[in-house]
Amino acid sequence: MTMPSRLRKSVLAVHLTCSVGWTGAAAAYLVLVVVALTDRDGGSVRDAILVMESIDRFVIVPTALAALLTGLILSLGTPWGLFRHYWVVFTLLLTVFAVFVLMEYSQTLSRMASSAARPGLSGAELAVLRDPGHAVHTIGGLVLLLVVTALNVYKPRGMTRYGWRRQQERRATSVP
Amino acid sequence: VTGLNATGTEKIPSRGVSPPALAVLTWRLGIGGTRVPQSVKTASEMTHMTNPSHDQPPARRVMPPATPRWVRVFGAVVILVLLLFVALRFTIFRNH
Repeated sequence: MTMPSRLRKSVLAVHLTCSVGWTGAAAAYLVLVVVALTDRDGGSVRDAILVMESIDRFVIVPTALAALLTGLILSLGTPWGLFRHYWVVFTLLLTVFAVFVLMEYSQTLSRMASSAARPGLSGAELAVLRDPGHAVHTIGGLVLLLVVTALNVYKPRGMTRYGWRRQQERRATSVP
Repeated sequence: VTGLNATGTEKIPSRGVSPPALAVLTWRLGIGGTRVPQSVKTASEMTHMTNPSHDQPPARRVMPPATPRWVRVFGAVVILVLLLFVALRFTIFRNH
Protein backbone atom coordinates (compact mmCIF):
# COMPACT_ATOMS: atom_id res chain seq x y z
CA MET A 1 0.00 0.00 0.00
CA THR A 2 1.61 3.24 -1.14
CA MET A 3 0.20 6.64 -0.29
CA PRO A 4 -0.31 9.30 -2.94
CA SER A 5 2.55 11.79 -3.11
CA ARG A 6 0.57 14.74 -1.82
CA LEU A 7 -0.76 12.83 1.17
CA ARG A 8 2.67 11.39 1.92
CA LYS A 9 4.23 14.86 1.96
CA SER A 10 1.51 16.16 4.26
CA VAL A 11 2.03 13.33 6.72
CA LEU A 12 5.80 13.80 6.45
CA ALA A 13 5.44 17.51 7.27
CA VAL A 14 3.36 16.70 10.36
CA HIS A 15 5.82 13.98 11.37
CA LEU A 16 8.84 16.27 11.08
CA THR A 17 7.09 19.07 12.94
CA CYS A 18 6.09 16.78 15.79
CA SER A 19 9.50 15.14 16.00
CA VAL A 20 11.37 18.43 16.04
CA GLY A 21 8.82 19.86 18.46
CA TRP A 22 9.31 16.89 20.77
CA THR A 23 13.08 17.39 20.78
CA GLY A 24 12.82 21.15 21.27
CA ALA A 25 10.33 20.80 24.10
CA ALA A 26 12.60 18.25 25.77
CA ALA A 27 15.50 20.71 25.51
CA ALA A 28 13.42 23.48 27.09
CA TYR A 29 12.28 21.00 29.73
CA LEU A 30 15.91 20.29 30.58
CA VAL A 31 16.47 23.95 31.45
CA LEU A 32 13.59 23.82 33.91
CA VAL A 33 14.96 20.60 35.37
CA VAL A 34 18.27 22.33 36.02
CA VAL A 35 16.40 25.15 37.78
CA ALA A 36 14.38 22.70 39.86
CA LEU A 37 17.43 20.72 40.91
CA THR A 38 19.85 23.56 41.61
CA ASP A 39 17.80 26.51 42.84
CA ARG A 40 17.78 26.88 46.61
CA ASP A 41 14.57 28.86 46.65
CA GLY A 42 11.62 26.60 47.36
CA GLY A 43 9.27 28.88 45.44
CA SER A 44 11.35 28.60 42.28
CA VAL A 45 11.43 24.81 42.57
CA ARG A 46 7.67 24.67 42.96
CA ASP A 47 7.09 26.99 40.00
CA ALA A 48 9.53 25.02 37.86
CA ILE A 49 7.73 21.76 38.63
CA LEU A 50 4.37 23.30 37.74
CA VAL A 51 5.67 24.64 34.42
CA MET A 52 7.38 21.31 33.71
CA GLU A 53 4.10 19.52 34.23
CA SER A 54 2.31 21.89 31.85
CA ILE A 55 4.97 21.49 29.15
CA ASP A 56 4.87 17.75 29.58
CA ARG A 57 1.11 17.47 29.40
CA PHE A 58 0.41 19.98 26.65
CA VAL A 59 3.50 19.79 24.45
CA ILE A 60 5.73 16.78 25.00
CA VAL A 61 3.14 14.01 25.31
CA PRO A 62 0.97 15.17 22.36
CA THR A 63 3.99 15.67 20.08
CA ALA A 64 5.45 12.31 21.10
CA LEU A 65 2.20 10.46 20.37
CA ALA A 66 1.74 12.34 17.09
CA ALA A 67 5.33 11.60 16.03
CA LEU A 68 4.83 7.89 16.75
CA LEU A 69 1.49 7.76 14.93
CA THR A 70 2.66 9.68 11.85
CA GLY A 71 5.84 7.60 11.76
CA LEU A 72 3.75 4.43 11.65
CA ILE A 73 1.57 5.86 8.87
CA LEU A 74 4.62 6.92 6.87
CA SER A 75 6.37 3.59 7.16
CA LEU A 76 3.27 1.60 6.25
CA GLY A 77 2.32 3.95 3.42
CA THR A 78 5.71 4.03 1.71
CA PRO A 79 7.99 1.36 0.23
CA TRP A 80 10.19 1.57 3.33
CA GLY A 81 7.73 -0.59 5.26
CA LEU A 82 7.73 -1.19 9.00
CA PHE A 83 9.87 -4.32 9.28
CA ARG A 84 11.83 -4.31 6.01
CA HIS A 85 14.84 -2.21 6.99
CA TYR A 86 16.78 -2.42 10.20
CA TRP A 87 16.92 1.34 10.71
CA VAL A 88 13.11 1.54 10.59
CA VAL A 89 12.79 -1.31 13.08
CA PHE A 90 15.24 0.36 15.47
CA THR A 91 13.49 3.69 15.09
CA LEU A 92 10.15 2.09 15.90
CA LEU A 93 11.50 0.22 18.93
CA LEU A 94 13.26 3.25 20.36
CA THR A 95 10.27 5.52 19.82
CA VAL A 96 7.85 3.05 21.42
CA PHE A 97 10.25 2.69 24.36
CA ALA A 98 10.56 6.47 24.70
CA VAL A 99 6.79 6.97 24.64
CA PHE A 100 6.31 4.19 27.20
CA VAL A 101 8.83 5.75 29.61
CA LEU A 102 7.38 9.20 28.96
CA MET A 103 3.90 8.04 29.92
CA GLU A 104 5.11 6.53 33.15
CA TYR A 105 7.17 9.60 33.99
CA SER A 106 4.22 11.87 33.24
CA GLN A 107 2.14 10.15 35.89
CA THR A 108 4.88 10.69 38.47
CA LEU A 109 5.25 14.31 37.41
CA SER A 110 1.52 14.85 37.68
CA ARG A 111 1.57 13.64 41.29
CA MET A 112 4.53 15.94 42.02
CA ALA A 113 2.72 18.90 40.50
CA SER A 114 -0.32 18.18 42.67
CA SER A 115 1.81 18.30 45.80
CA ALA A 116 3.71 21.37 44.52
CA ALA A 117 0.44 23.25 44.00
CA ARG A 118 -0.41 22.94 47.69
CA PRO A 119 0.64 25.94 49.78
CA GLY A 120 3.27 25.54 52.47
CA LEU A 121 5.67 22.91 51.24
CA SER A 122 7.68 21.09 53.90
CA GLY A 123 11.37 20.32 53.54
CA ALA A 124 10.66 16.63 52.85
CA GLU A 125 8.17 17.48 50.12
CA LEU A 126 10.66 19.88 48.56
CA ALA A 127 13.27 17.13 48.56
CA VAL A 128 10.85 14.84 46.73
CA LEU A 129 10.31 17.54 44.10
CA ARG A 130 14.10 17.78 43.62
CA ASP A 131 14.24 14.27 42.32
CA PRO A 132 17.32 13.52 40.15
CA GLY A 133 15.06 11.29 38.08
CA HIS A 134 13.94 14.43 36.24
CA ALA A 135 17.45 14.86 34.84
CA VAL A 136 17.90 11.16 34.10
CA HIS A 137 14.65 10.94 32.16
CA THR A 138 15.20 14.19 30.27
CA ILE A 139 18.82 13.58 29.30
CA GLY A 140 18.09 9.96 28.41
CA GLY A 141 15.14 11.02 26.30
CA LEU A 142 17.15 13.66 24.49
CA VAL A 143 19.95 11.21 23.72
CA LEU A 144 17.43 8.71 22.42
CA LEU A 145 15.78 11.33 20.22
CA LEU A 146 19.13 12.36 18.78
CA VAL A 147 19.95 8.72 18.00
CA VAL A 148 16.59 8.27 16.28
CA THR A 149 17.16 11.48 14.31
CA ALA A 150 20.58 10.25 13.16
CA LEU A 151 19.07 6.91 12.11
CA ASN A 152 16.39 8.69 10.10
CA VAL A 153 18.86 11.03 8.40
CA TYR A 154 21.59 8.51 7.53
CA LYS A 155 19.30 5.51 6.91
CA PRO A 156 22.09 2.91 7.25
CA ARG A 157 21.90 0.03 4.83
CA GLY A 158 20.61 -3.33 5.92
CA MET A 159 17.49 -5.26 5.06
CA THR A 160 15.73 -7.65 7.39
CA ARG A 161 14.98 -11.22 6.30
CA TYR A 162 11.32 -10.29 5.96
CA GLY A 163 12.21 -7.31 3.78
CA TRP A 164 14.53 -9.45 1.68
CA ARG A 165 11.81 -12.06 1.13
CA ARG A 166 9.34 -9.37 0.09
CA GLN A 167 11.91 -7.93 -2.30
CA GLN A 168 12.48 -11.37 -3.86
CA GLU A 169 8.75 -11.89 -4.24
CA ARG A 170 8.35 -8.52 -5.87
CA ARG A 171 11.19 -9.24 -8.30
CA ALA A 172 9.71 -12.64 -9.13
CA THR A 173 6.33 -11.15 -9.92
CA SER A 174 7.78 -8.28 -11.94
CA VAL A 175 9.75 -10.62 -14.26
CA PRO A 176 7.38 -11.97 -16.99
CA VAL B 1 44.76 -41.98 -23.31
CA THR B 2 44.45 -40.11 -20.13
CA GLY B 3 43.87 -36.48 -19.49
CA LEU B 4 43.24 -34.04 -16.71
CA ASN B 5 39.93 -32.52 -15.92
CA ALA B 6 39.32 -28.82 -15.60
CA THR B 7 40.82 -28.56 -12.14
CA GLY B 8 43.76 -30.75 -13.10
CA THR B 9 43.41 -32.91 -10.05
CA GLU B 10 41.87 -36.09 -11.36
CA LYS B 11 42.48 -38.17 -14.41
CA ILE B 12 39.75 -38.61 -16.92
CA PRO B 13 39.27 -42.29 -17.84
CA SER B 14 40.29 -43.21 -21.37
CA ARG B 15 37.60 -43.55 -23.98
CA GLY B 16 37.15 -46.65 -26.03
CA VAL B 17 34.51 -48.44 -28.04
CA SER B 18 31.96 -49.62 -25.59
CA PRO B 19 30.43 -53.08 -26.11
CA PRO B 20 26.88 -51.81 -26.72
CA ALA B 21 28.10 -49.47 -29.47
CA LEU B 22 30.03 -52.28 -31.08
CA ALA B 23 26.94 -54.49 -31.03
CA VAL B 24 24.88 -51.77 -32.70
CA LEU B 25 27.54 -51.34 -35.42
CA THR B 26 27.68 -55.05 -36.26
CA TRP B 27 23.92 -55.25 -36.34
CA ARG B 28 23.62 -52.30 -38.71
CA LEU B 29 26.30 -53.77 -41.02
CA GLY B 30 24.52 -57.12 -40.96
CA ILE B 31 27.49 -59.02 -39.66
CA GLY B 32 26.37 -59.61 -36.14
CA GLY B 33 23.31 -61.74 -36.68
CA THR B 34 19.66 -60.76 -36.57
CA ARG B 35 19.32 -60.18 -32.90
CA VAL B 36 18.68 -56.58 -32.12
CA PRO B 37 20.89 -55.42 -29.31
CA GLN B 38 19.02 -54.21 -26.29
CA SER B 39 20.80 -50.89 -26.30
CA VAL B 40 19.41 -49.89 -29.72
CA LYS B 41 16.81 -47.17 -29.42
CA THR B 42 14.09 -46.16 -31.80
CA ALA B 43 14.12 -42.73 -33.41
CA SER B 44 11.71 -41.30 -30.90
CA GLU B 45 13.73 -42.74 -28.05
CA MET B 46 16.95 -41.34 -29.47
CA THR B 47 15.60 -37.83 -29.26
CA HIS B 48 14.80 -38.32 -25.58
CA MET B 49 18.03 -39.93 -24.57
CA THR B 50 19.32 -36.88 -22.78
CA ASN B 51 17.48 -35.28 -19.96
CA PRO B 52 17.36 -31.54 -20.68
CA SER B 53 17.58 -30.74 -17.00
CA HIS B 54 20.98 -32.43 -16.83
CA ASP B 55 22.40 -30.07 -19.43
CA GLN B 56 21.44 -26.96 -17.49
CA PRO B 57 23.57 -25.76 -14.62
CA PRO B 58 21.97 -26.31 -11.21
CA ALA B 59 19.78 -23.42 -10.10
CA ARG B 60 21.69 -21.13 -7.78
CA ARG B 61 19.95 -20.78 -4.46
CA VAL B 62 19.75 -17.13 -3.45
CA MET B 63 20.61 -16.71 0.21
CA PRO B 64 19.41 -13.79 2.35
CA PRO B 65 22.07 -11.17 3.08
CA ALA B 66 24.04 -11.40 6.30
CA THR B 67 23.12 -9.14 9.19
CA PRO B 68 25.19 -5.94 8.94
CA ARG B 69 27.74 -5.28 11.63
CA TRP B 70 26.17 -2.00 12.70
CA VAL B 71 22.89 -3.84 13.39
CA ARG B 72 24.63 -6.30 15.71
CA VAL B 73 26.50 -3.53 17.54
CA PHE B 74 23.47 -1.27 17.74
CA GLY B 75 21.25 -4.13 18.89
CA ALA B 76 23.69 -5.05 21.64
CA VAL B 77 23.83 -1.43 22.83
CA VAL B 78 20.02 -1.14 22.81
CA ILE B 79 19.65 -4.36 24.79
CA LEU B 80 22.23 -3.14 27.33
CA VAL B 81 20.42 0.18 27.72
CA LEU B 82 17.10 -1.59 28.18
CA LEU B 83 18.57 -3.88 30.82
CA LEU B 84 20.13 -0.87 32.56
CA PHE B 85 16.78 0.90 32.52
CA VAL B 86 14.99 -2.10 33.99
CA ALA B 87 17.68 -2.48 36.65
CA LEU B 88 17.42 1.20 37.59
CA ARG B 89 13.66 0.98 37.55
CA PHE B 90 13.59 -1.72 40.19
CA THR B 91 16.40 -0.31 42.34
CA ILE B 92 16.98 3.45 42.44
CA PHE B 93 13.71 4.75 40.97
CA ARG B 94 11.48 2.13 42.58
CA ASN B 95 9.28 4.75 44.30
CA HIS B 96 8.22 6.35 40.97
